Amino acid sequence: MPLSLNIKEGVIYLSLHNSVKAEELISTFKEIKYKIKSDNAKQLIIDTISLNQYDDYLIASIKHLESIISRENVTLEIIGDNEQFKDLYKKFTTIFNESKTKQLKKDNILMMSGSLFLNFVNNIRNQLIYLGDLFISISLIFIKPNTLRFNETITLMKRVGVDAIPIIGLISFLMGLIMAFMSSIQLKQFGANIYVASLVGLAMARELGPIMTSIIVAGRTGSAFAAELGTMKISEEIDALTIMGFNITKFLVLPRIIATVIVVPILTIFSNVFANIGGLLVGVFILNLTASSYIHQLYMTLSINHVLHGVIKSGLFAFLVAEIGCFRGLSVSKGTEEVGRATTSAVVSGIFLIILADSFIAVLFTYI
Amino acid sequence: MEKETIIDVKDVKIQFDETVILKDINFSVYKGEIFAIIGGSGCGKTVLLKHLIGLLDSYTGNIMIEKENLKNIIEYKYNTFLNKIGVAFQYGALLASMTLEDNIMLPIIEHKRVNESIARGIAKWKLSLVDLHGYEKYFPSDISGGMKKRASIARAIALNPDILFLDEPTSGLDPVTSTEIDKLIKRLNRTLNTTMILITHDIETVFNITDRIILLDKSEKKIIAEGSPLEVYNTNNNERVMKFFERKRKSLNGN
Repeated sequence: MPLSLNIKEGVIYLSLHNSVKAEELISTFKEIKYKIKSDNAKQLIIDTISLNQYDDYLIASIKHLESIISRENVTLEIIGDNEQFKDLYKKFTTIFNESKTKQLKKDNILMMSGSLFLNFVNNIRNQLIYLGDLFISISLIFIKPNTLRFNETITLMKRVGVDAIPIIGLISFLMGLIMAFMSSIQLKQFGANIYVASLVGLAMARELGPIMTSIIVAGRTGSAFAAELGTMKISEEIDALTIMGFNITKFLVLPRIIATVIVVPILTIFSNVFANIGGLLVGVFILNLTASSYIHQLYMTLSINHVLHGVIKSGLFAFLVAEIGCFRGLSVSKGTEEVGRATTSAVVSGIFLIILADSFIAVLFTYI
Repeated sequence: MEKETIIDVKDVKIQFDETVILKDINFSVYKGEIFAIIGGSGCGKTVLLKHLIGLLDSYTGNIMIEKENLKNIIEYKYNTFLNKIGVAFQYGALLASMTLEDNIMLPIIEHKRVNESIARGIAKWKLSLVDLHGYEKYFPSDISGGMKKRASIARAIALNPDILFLDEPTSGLDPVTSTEIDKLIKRLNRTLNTTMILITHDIETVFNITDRIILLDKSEKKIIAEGSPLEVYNTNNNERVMKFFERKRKSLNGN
């Protein structure tokens, strides 16, 4: 028996023998609490005379027991001539009770809202500095085009564009399919089946194509840029590049933005084509239209202006997505956790900016 | 009295695909000693450590931990083995999203059947053992490199391991902090009676605290010297061994 429990005249005796594990002591806590209540005990004596082996877990458990019984106004006494044990218990108690714990400065609500506002202002200021730097770098590229890292840009174009074709193709195809199918139910009632082609074609070319493509790019590429640059920042790669005399915007940001701005409009055209194929399939197999009449209707509805409107808009969205992705990545200052936060923020801000810019363009075109 | 062997490495050859990293590795670590695996950069010290703790398994030969084959341990009782060892990684490997206290409580809650209050008490105690009492609520990003190393040692000793592995405990630290870490390792070894296995290329650490060393060589891919640091330093005439200790020799000779 590693430990035994007795009670005599309101005093509980807990004897620890040979080697006692913390878990064994913890399992007696309930019984001790019960005995305190049932026998109205006022003192707990822990006998360590025959205790040979112990560790700091046992000490911590005794300390915990002491704090439990003190709530019932029961005192604890340790007996036995094991000085080393007593010494360790004393040291542990000092550390346990000493509230030396340094708290990192905690702000009150006023200070918190103040620092939130300052963070917001700082964020906008940094964004403006970053944008200014970006425009200077872009104009320098026009003056000296050979300073752009062409190979890197081409590789990035493959990563952002070519690699995204399957997912964009699939989603756009399904969107075209769904749009045509849902609208056909309504249009069928008026015998206006043929207008399914106009609806899918126009909606995709002007609005949904650019928005869908840019949102997918924000999720795929914007997040990747933020994670990549954020990790480079915490592993001091960006510091190293700066010290070697590289302009970070020109070296890292510009190839990413240029690659994205070039490929996203192309991806949008792909998206339109795939969506119209989806619409065509619904038209032919569900609405009994002929393929040629569907394509003819599409040709009659869509003008080059509609397509260009969407394509140019997608270029602007691409710029916003890549720009915010890189900015969030470069804003990382410490720790892996912040990389995760920057990645999430890149996607959320990217999507927000896409919708904001789209609304702005819609209002602008209404009044022009 | 004969010393009790805690780790016995016999005829170990570490190989990744066709590339041999280390071969003919034979050494024993005795209970309670501070043992160092030393050697230049890229000689396979960390790879050897990762094999000793079961993170890598690309070896032939036998690694015996407390008289049991590591391959059997990994297959049948890896969790029990993890309770017996502690590892302090080179860059601390503290979880950035947790406070120092929570970092140390993590293995305690996972492996010991104690409640949170006891685990918190132990965490506080372990931090005090590495002189970080008071920093319980700090995050790893709020403390210096030396403090991170000490906190990672505190986490490594959280379960009172029999064997403590320390990967480059003093690398990247200034001489004062390095000496403090050396003293801490010595003190923990003495008070907790933990066997310590150090991976290092810090000659000062080797001479200050270790009982025995093995020296690995990158080109020969094997152990080229074994014994107490002074023994190796004074008696080994191998050219590569002498080159490794050249800086120590120069500093002792005063030039």
